[in-house]
Amino acid sequence: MIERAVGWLTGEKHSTYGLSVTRMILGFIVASQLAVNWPDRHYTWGDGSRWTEEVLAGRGWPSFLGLFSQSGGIGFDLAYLATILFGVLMMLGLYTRASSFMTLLLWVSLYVSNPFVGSGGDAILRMVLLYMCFTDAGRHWSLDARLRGRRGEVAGLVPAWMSNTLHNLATILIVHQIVMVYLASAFWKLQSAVWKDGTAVYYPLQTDAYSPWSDVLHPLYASSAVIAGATYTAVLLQLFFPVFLLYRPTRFLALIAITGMHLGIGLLMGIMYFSLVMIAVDMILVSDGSWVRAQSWVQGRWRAWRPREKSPGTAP
Amino acid sequence: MPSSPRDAAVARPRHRWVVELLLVAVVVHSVVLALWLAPSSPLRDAAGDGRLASYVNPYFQQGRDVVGVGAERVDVSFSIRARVAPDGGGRSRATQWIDLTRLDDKAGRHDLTVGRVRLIARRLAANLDLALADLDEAQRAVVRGLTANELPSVVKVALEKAGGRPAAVQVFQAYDQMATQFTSLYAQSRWDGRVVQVQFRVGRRTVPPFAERGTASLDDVAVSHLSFGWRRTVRGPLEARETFDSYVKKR
Repeated sequence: MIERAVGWLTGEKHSTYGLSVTRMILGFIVASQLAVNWPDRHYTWGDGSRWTEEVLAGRGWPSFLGLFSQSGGIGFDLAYLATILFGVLMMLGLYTRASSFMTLLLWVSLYVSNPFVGSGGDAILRMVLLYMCFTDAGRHWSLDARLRGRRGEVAGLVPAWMSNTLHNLATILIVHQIVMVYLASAFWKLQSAVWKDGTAVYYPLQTDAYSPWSDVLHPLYASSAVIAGATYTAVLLQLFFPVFLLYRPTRFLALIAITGMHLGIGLLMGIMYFSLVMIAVDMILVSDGSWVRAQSWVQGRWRAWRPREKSPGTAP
Repeated sequence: MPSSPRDAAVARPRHRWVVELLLVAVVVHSVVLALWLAPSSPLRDAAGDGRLASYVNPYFQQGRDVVGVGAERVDVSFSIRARVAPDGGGRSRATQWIDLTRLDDKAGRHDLTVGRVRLIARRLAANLDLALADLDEAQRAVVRGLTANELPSVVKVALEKAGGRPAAVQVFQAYDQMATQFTSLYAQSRWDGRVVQVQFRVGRRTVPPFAERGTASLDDVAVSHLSFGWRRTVRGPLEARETFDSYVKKR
């Protein structure tokens, strides 16, 4: 068994397409989050957040992550713009490993400068970015892949068996992180009376913090069928998600259902950022074969559509 | 003789040893993270919360918000007011309370790309609420009676003398000082004149029970306020004041 495991780890890189999709979405999330927060950046993370120093000291973050908390004015803006730039580079897959590492470093530096504006999505993003630095996330659908196609493969700094091992182990850690989030969440919920009696979702939807649409959707939130359906669906999906992943037919259904759940949570509870991070990391779970088939389908549609576009004189 | 690169890597003892070592490290790391995220169990208790925390924090830190437990039923708010003296001199007067959380909620309504700035007041309120809940009743009575002239060092002694855990006092004072600084900076930008003293309060409302969903909503629940005494204004660095000015004035 260990023989087979070592062979699986060293032989070739797995989930390269899924990782590429995750990389693109995470890069987009980082860049778009910072763009959205640009008008209030100094108040949120810069000079305006110095009042949080009392808790910063107790968090145990090393001083090399103090870039944003120690800089102000132009220096802060340059570091902020650099984070957006590396997020875009990561999304495009240019110098993927370096841009992933820089995105991680800068994003964590920003995150630690104000603990009052963090979210659950930040912790997952931080850990997935850390693991991703060890993967070949730019293997497909990236500018690196395009350059590689033109120039040919460049010999790596580490031997292939080591590079494959690091990639595959990091991928395992990302998948483990996803599965643990769902499983732990389900176990916590099962210990709570309101999740067991099917009313849990009602409570956060009544609070101002998680109900940006309550004025429009209040009748829906008052429906016991809707609330019970949403509550039990969330628990069952999270609890059985790892089991559903084992078989191809259920894997697709589970991924569609959990993506729907995240979109629902993101839209209705106003936590779109957390939901997008979860959707991004879930993409690793789609097999390479499925991504290749999806690519062929898109390319086929594109080829079928393009000639018609080019011949405007053709009679209908 | 190995026939492929995979076989070659597996066959070489040194390579195999490195791969196995990495695999063991990944398994151990995964088990620790799994225990950290899991609810209380004999296995988790045997590992010990402190031991797990020392490994997880800060690089792999993830709290319950990561696993999205989410059945929050308490809505908290953060309000501030100040005693402001006219610039030319004269007696200071207390302003009206302003609920910063309500302003944030109003700005974030129907918005899918809510700025993180909207989280600050509510998070401050939630942390103050938790810090205050960790104090015992005698200590909370001390907090309610605080005046602007009492220095943090004196307050610390008074709180510790009232009983409870010293760690809880430390956490409360840290949040209290942060809230004082935040309120001072906000108040100086919000009101004209010289801000002499500031005060903040945390509002709490509990969502009505599920059985009452048809007849009652959160708006029908009276807000109970946790009051903190007046505090002397902390002027704050110039850059922070300018940043608050530009943010508060555009609200």
